[in-house]
Amino acid sequence: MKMEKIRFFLNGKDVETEIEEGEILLHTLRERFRITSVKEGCSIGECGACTVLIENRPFYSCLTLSSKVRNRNVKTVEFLGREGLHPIQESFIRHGAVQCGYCTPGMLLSAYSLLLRNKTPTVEEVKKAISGNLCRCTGYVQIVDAIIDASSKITERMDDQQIPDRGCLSKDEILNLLASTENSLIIAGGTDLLISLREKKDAKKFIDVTSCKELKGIEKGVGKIFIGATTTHTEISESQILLNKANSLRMASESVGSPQIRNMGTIGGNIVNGSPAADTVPALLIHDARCILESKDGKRLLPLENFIFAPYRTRIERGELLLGVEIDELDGFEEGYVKVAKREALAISRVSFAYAIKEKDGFFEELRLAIGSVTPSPFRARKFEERLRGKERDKRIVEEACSILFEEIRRLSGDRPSYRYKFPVLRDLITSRLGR
Amino acid sequence: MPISTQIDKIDAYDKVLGKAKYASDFYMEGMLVGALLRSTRPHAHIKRIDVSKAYSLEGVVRIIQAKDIPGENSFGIIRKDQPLLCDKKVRFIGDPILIVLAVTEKVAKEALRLIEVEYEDIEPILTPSDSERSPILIHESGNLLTHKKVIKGNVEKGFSESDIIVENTYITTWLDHAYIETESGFGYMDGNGRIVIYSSTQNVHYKRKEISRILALPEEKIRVVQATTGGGFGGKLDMTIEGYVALSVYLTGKPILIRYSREESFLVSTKRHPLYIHYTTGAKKNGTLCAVKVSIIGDTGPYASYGETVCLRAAIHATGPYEVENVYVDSKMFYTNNPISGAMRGFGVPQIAFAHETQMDILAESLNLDPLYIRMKNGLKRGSKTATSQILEESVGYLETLERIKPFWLERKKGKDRGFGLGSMFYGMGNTGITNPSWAELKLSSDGKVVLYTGVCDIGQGSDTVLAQIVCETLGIDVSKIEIVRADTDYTKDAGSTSASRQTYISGKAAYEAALKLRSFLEREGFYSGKKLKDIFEKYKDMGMPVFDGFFDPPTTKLDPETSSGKPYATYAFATHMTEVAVDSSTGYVKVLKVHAAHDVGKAINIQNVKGQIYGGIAMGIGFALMEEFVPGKTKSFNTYYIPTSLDMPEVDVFIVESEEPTGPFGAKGVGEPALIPSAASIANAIYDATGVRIFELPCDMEKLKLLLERKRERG
Repeated sequence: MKMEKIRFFLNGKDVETEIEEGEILLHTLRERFRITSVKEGCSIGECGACTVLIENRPFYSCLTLSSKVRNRNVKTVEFLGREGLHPIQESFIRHGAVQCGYCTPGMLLSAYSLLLRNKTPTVEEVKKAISGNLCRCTGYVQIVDAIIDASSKITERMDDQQIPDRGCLSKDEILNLLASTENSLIIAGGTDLLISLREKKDAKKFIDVTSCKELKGIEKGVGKIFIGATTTHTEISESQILLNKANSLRMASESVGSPQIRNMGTIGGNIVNGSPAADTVPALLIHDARCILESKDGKRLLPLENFIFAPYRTRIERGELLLGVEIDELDGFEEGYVKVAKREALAISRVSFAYAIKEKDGFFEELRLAIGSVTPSPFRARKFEERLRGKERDKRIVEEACSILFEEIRRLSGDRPSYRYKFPVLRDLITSRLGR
Repeated sequence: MPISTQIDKIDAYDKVLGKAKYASDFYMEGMLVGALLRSTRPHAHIKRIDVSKAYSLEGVVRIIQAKDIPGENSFGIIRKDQPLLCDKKVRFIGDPILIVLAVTEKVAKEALRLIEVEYEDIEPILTPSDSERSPILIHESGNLLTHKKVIKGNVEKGFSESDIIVENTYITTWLDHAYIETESGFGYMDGNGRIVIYSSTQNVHYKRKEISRILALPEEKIRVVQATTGGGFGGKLDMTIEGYVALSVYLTGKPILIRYSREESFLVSTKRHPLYIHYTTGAKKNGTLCAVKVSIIGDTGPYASYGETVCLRAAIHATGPYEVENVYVDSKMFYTNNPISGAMRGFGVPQIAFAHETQMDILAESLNLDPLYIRMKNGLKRGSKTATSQILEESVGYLETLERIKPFWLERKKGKDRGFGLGSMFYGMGNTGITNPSWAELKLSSDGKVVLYTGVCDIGQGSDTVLAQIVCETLGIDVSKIEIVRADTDYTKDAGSTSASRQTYISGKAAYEAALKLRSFLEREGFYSGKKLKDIFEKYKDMGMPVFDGFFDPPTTKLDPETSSGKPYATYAFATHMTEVAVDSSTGYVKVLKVHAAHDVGKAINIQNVKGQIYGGIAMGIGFALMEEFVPGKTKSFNTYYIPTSLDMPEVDVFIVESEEPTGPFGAKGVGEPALIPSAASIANAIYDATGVRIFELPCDMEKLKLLLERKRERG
């Protein structure tokens, strides 16, 4: 096994260790540093017991490659307790927020991260901040109380220190590596990829693209917006540009998984993974997103609509890198993203859709609708859009048009048993959102 | 005073600092890691096992099979019908066949892939009804694990006197405990050749007994210590990893760690029993219950585990907290080749509560009575006679739980797509109709503290703190003056399992009894007139420090084998929840908005802990009602088994009713399971209130509810 050396800051200390190729941060911390407060609960980024902070944001260490933390600041609960009990730890004790304790270190870190950014959180904000940390004992009530109570006692601020240079790869270096490395695999957030590779033993050579600055960020152009492939869901959720010009996308990213997943997962990963339930894809579709792909042979632009062509399959070629997506701004549109899932966080959508409406005098001047989780890949319901263009914005008319939508769906994927549920849901939700 | 005031949980300090040591946190030089090969077939004979390729993998140290077991190759809390390692036959997907010990977990798991097992399949039995009819036997003793009846009065006469009869079938499915820490254990051989096991467990003494049988070693050669345990809920009562760790230590002499992956935990941990409940209620026009007839059929899976307990407990609690003159309950558990069902918070009572509470609401509606009124009218009170003909003499706070909810019930205001539901329950404290004693010991230490030796496993619920409070209250000392030695077979006496909501009541009483003895000793020694504990210790240290022990076994009787008449439990807890939900009729999604929860706990020794149990129970109840469903073959991990997140929790108001139980410590009973039991029932009733759709099957997830709403819509 090839070993590599990494150096990073662990609870404020400059540390160095050797790691195996593809090693997971959870194992590095537990086995090489014997930091056992970082717990293994599920290994697939669902339970949050392994939560650590990277640059003061919560991450699932079970889905973080150790090589990713090179030159970065990693914190575990030992950081909080470095000079005796931290006010938030004290508050957890005082409020009876600890039962079995297995979720506690991760829970404390998620809470601490919130309080660094928000000194006066509401109950809802607290619940959202810990929604990526499962607890089976407490019902969360006393945890939420403890965090609210501690919020006034925390004086620390988010480190505004510059995030250190991580020894970044440039885009060209990535393209060279892609062309020259056998068995290489691009990894961004890793939240899907590492789960699918968990049971496979053949070692892959990961090329971590999240360190490449050229792939990151949201840029406004004339009538369009460029979103770099490694822009995280958190960054998208917090983007002012998208709030104004592509709100459905911002809402979609905000609905992804949990705070940890949103800190880790990227829009590029969401697209390339090709899941039928990918949250951002319906929103991107109504913005006519184009995927920008580059290889050593050059650049090409492919409409997202054609890019994902079957579940988990896309038209990306070997040696190609997704640089990002370009989307159209939608001015004067009312936008939304609706996700139907079995619980409030950490949930895969059963049905989702993004819509944009331009209304004039009670009529649809323009209408866009894209559906997720119903067909092999999310799709733009063009026939439905066409049917309603110019029509009155009326509940009954919208409901009637749903039969066109269902025809479109059946044409894409035949009839499925799940449609007994999904069609009435789509009918009711689309009617209430689009109709008046 | 230490009780009823706010005391910080004793175990919380180490836990918030990340210092608490769970079993998988143990590490020793030279430690081997074990992994289990498990059956991929639901029912099959094992024809051949080939481990040669696995042995040739670098890092594999030892492969252990059934033939290597020195003692009995069987275990089980009630019936020893479960093999530690299968050699002839496998009975479910996940049945263990052998253990691979290797230098790392990765190597051990890789080795599993290299082992070949040849099976000869037997037709699997996948439902209780197939189990009843099939000539194929899962065990030689037959496919019926157990059959219990609860009979009181004459049920046919009761029905003939009824003005109304309501008859329905209720179905529940498998649920997983889903503790965040999977089953884990660490063991080593000490310098004297004794086997030491640290495990994630709810009972150390039982585990020692099983290990002793498996290894054919006297119990004195084995020490079982509870590592900090990341949740139990009944799933860590049966032997999990302990037998494998002990056997591996015994055969290799090396330190051993075995830890289930989440997938493995889901595959093999015991589940909540799926029950099919056919329930018939007869009542008078004025709401008086005349007769209850219930048939319960359960799927216990391939091994007994706690199936017999669940079968009987569900039957005894079938009427709910109501006095019914004529009762006939018939309860059966069948073996199948499905996952093993066992103990899970409430032992069958959460399922039966869903049935009896829905029946009560249907009755109320049919008779045009208020749901709270009909519960009030029939509720158990002092002097009532239960279905097992036990007269309740003391501590019956059921009606008071209703009284506490009443003002909110009367003031409820229903919005569109909103609904309110009630759920009530009663629950017997401790094991059913058998002795279930506990011991505790107290000593003084050289640094002037009182040391409590208790066999109670604190699995997070807070028994360490509660026991400390009981002792300190009795002695009149501060909680800082007590130390606890907990759940270690070398140092503590058997306190029974942390289950059946029994530890505060039973072990708390044992600790109280010990404290009374220590108190009179301290009185004699002048502690209460100013002498220091340290000086008292000094005085006795050379002549041997006396030990003060306490014992309690709740007064129960054996039950009649035909009718189950008798006193199965010394006392009962009572509760009522009122739950408000909002239903999204477009999607069928139910959001629980608010719960008012009133619980008669006898006496709240630690109010914060009581509340913590109730909040946690409600979370689990939401899961049971709305989202949790273990589907054999499909559910693998937390991405396919949803438990509630922080965002799924409603606001909760807790009302503590203290109807003191004279046999309990300071009047205390228990709350661990009662916290959960009424929750799902109240949610199901609230959904009906919001939508007019009755729920007869749990979970009522959004897809099921939407389809029911669609059906209603189509009917107009």
